[in-house]
Amino acid sequence: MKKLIAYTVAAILFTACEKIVDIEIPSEEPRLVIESEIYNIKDIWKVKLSSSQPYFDQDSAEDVSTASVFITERGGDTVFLNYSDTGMYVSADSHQCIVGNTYELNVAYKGQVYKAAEELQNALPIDELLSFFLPPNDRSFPTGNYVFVQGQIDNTKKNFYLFKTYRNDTLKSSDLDNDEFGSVSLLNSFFNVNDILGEISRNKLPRPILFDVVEGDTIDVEQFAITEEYFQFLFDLSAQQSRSGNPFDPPPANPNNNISNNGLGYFSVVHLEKKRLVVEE
Amino acid sequence: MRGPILVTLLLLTILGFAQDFTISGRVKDASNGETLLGATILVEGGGGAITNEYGFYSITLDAGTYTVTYKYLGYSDIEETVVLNENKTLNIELGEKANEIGTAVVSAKALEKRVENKKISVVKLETAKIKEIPVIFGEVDILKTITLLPGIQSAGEGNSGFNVRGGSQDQNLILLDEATVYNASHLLGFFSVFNGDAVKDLEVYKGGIPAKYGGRLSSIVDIKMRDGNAKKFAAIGGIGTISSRLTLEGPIVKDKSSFMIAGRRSYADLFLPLAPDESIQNSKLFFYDLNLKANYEISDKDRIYVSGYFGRDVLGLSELFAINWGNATATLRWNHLVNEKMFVNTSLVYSDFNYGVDINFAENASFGLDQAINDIYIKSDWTNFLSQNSKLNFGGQLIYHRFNPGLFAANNEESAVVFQETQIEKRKALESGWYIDHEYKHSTRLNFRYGLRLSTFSNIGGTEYAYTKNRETNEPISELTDTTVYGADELYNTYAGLEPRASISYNLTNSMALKGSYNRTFQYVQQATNTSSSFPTDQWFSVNKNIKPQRADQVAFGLFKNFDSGLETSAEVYYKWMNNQIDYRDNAQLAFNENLDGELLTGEGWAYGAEFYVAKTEGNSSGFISYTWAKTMRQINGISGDNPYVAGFDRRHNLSLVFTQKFSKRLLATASFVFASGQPLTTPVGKYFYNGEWQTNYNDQERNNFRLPAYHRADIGVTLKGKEKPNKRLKSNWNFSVYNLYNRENPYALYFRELNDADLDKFPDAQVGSTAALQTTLFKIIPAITWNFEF
Repeated sequence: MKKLIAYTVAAILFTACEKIVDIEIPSEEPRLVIESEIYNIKDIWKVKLSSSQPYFDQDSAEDVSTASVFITERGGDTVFLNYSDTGMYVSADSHQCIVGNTYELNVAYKGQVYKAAEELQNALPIDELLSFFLPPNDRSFPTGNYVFVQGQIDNTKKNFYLFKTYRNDTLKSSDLDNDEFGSVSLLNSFFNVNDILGEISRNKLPRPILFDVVEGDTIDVEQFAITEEYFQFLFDLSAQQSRSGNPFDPPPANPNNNISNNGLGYFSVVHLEKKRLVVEE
Repeated sequence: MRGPILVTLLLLTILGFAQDFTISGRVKDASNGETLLGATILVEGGGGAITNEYGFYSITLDAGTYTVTYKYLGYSDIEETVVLNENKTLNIELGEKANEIGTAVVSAKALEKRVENKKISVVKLETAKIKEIPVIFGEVDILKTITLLPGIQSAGEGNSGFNVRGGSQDQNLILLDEATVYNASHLLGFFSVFNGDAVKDLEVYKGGIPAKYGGRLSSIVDIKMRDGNAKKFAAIGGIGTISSRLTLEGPIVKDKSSFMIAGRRSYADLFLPLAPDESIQNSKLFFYDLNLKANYEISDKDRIYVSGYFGRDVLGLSELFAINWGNATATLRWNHLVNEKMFVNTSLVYSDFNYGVDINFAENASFGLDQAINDIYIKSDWTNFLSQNSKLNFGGQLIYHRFNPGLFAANNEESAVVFQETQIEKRKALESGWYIDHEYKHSTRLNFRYGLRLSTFSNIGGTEYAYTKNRETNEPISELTDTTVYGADELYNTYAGLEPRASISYNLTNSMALKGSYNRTFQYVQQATNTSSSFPTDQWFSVNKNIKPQRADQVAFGLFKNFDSGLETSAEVYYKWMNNQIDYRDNAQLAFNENLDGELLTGEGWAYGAEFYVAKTEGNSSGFISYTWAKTMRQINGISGDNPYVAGFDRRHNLSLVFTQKFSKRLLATASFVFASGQPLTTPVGKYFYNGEWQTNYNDQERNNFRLPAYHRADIGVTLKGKEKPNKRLKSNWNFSVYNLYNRENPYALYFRELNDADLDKFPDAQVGSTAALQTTLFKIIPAITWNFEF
């Protein structure tokens, strides 16, 4: 925002200019990038490995195919993953993570060992996916169909959520949330859908997870219970990604992750709950 | 402890017993009655004095007959013969030297004197000099001009901030008639808030800071407003490309009392409707400011001054976004002469800076953010002119600070449903400073100045937060663990600091002097920023339980030499150690964060450098060359992998050349050139594909791993004076200037991102999906024209 404003001031005063410049910047040796998410749902375990590259490199990401990869359930079995293609390593059988257990990823590549571990969090409540139609009202809220999540927040601990919302199988949004906002959280257990206007007149409106849906839309919501570390990683990654030179930008840095030995990316163990809703009038 | 007191008493007794008398008075400008500060009074046979900031001087001598000479740069000397058999008051008015061509013979004697009078690490500028140097849009800008001098580095284009000897921008104390100016920028830093017509002069202390000043680590910029013409009514002003200004001044009671009122307004926005872009047409962009001053001489011994500043900036982008900010200051001063040897000034000062942001996304999504800092203080400064070789300064000040870190509120009822009003807790604090300072001339060769300042700071009332930050490792975890609530008037977290100050000057020959200084400074109120530009939203906050006071120690040495040819030269070196320097941790969350101090880490800083200056101040050809080599480092655990890193405002090489040539009585031309090493920044060191998009990979072991390309630029200006007719009061001149003469595209910002479809409009050759570096340039070549008048 800051640069935008300064830039606009300049644009208004005179002609500021922006151009693509050809400069040489320092480059680091390639680093291993790990991307993996395993679930409470029984599934094939997958780990994607690639290599970082110089910033101005025009090639697409380079897959890593010569690593040896295994995941160990702490105090339990070890599952080896074999290379399939495009940097992907997969387990032979399906596996299921158990709440409270810790899973350790081990990647050996070019004489280096990269480790990461995470514990599966308990499920977060998602009682219902609800939609309602908001008629014209005196509060200037846009009229239309809203979809929101209803559930009871567990106030005995801190909760970290990731919501992925799909409309007719297309990913519409990916939202991080914690209980910070309390009353306006994505989870709203006190909202009475049968008295929309009454609730609004009492200054209550659930934070919609989707707006502008129409009758017949199929809405899928994936709710992930994630660790605080993963939440922070995703939050910082997104803040770094959306840098615009404004005064609220974080200092340029890599988000903290859970991979040892300077590996990039994240190995996450997440609790997934899915709900589906077909919007009716 | 008893020893020194006895010695002091003994000394005072001895001084008191001598059969001596005092000459005192004020030195003024004969044309308008403005008091002249820094005028030299020389007594034949050795000794002398310099007028203080109110034009007052006092010299105590043995009984006898003396020839006393009054001098001021650019003014004709006045010689008085004084028969000293009683205390005498001598008020002197000096007349300006006729501005003649070809008569610039500089007496070697005058030059010798100036070596002695020059203080180490202090620069002083008269507005007349500043007005000759071309600046952007032809606007006289004192803050831009001081960055041409050694040791003072511009924070960058489009920024009136500056860095002094490795200090950050918030480590400069900018005073306007004793009131703190918290944000000295107009139009986000394109101009400074000081109207050249309203300013009498300014002094910048880069080191050797007298004990009288305190509260900031790196520098003091002491700006004094003009008093107003006490002889006759006058008006001065100018009409320029971007703004116009008018100053009215005159006597209230002739020679006793005067007033000045100066106003400015920019009008770039008046042309906005002509812009082709609709969003620009609907934008707002202007500033205005007002300086007021009046003084009244109650008696020979008492004089009252009232001065004030009020300025505001308004910037709006379409209907969507608006921001306005500004300073207001007010100073009430009372000069009192206790006796011929004791001068005292007592001031009551008010200073305020605030800004407001308004965002209107929709009828039901309209909200604003307000922040402010507000000070009230009382101070008293005493000077005892003990003898002609000895001067004792002492005094103190009390500052009551109030901070409003942020009020977030909806602008209308519809929005109030969605946006809950949030007031981040307001803060209060009490700061004080007490000092004693002795200026002592041991011989014609050796001078000392030494002093001690005691500063204190306490938070008042409110909630105190504690974090789980590991103090030993400075671990960047800002989890809140504890809160303590204090009563509204309760003082807590009291910090105190002793600040020794000293400077010494030794004249090797009549035209060469060796000088040295040491000072310790503490800073209790600071600003956190993540970029180098001065933005009004950068928050001022005080020390607290988590953020300790900053401390700096600086030593400087300098060699000063004047040549018979009229050249003045100096070379200075400095080293500065800084403690408790702040910087944001990696991935700090800065947007509307109530516990911002939890995102800051503290550590060490150090800076050193060498400054060289060659100037020719008199004659038809004048100018100066200034070169600074400087290095500024930080080491903060938790940042840059605990490694030392280059501070974000470090600029290794700084060169400026200014050359002025008088061609005739009417024609004057100035050319200048500046060069500065590029600003440090943190660049990506790679990229990786994750989560379906390119992510940037930084080197966490090295913050500020790269530098922008160097900054350089040349400007020229020509001033053509109108013909002066003896019977006409109106004097006028035209000023033509060209900024960035050879159209250098200096980088304002460099950033890195993936190119998208929208970029194709601007860069048809862009490869969508590839990553690139983009550079913005603010100012290319800019011609400007201003008409100045005076009657």
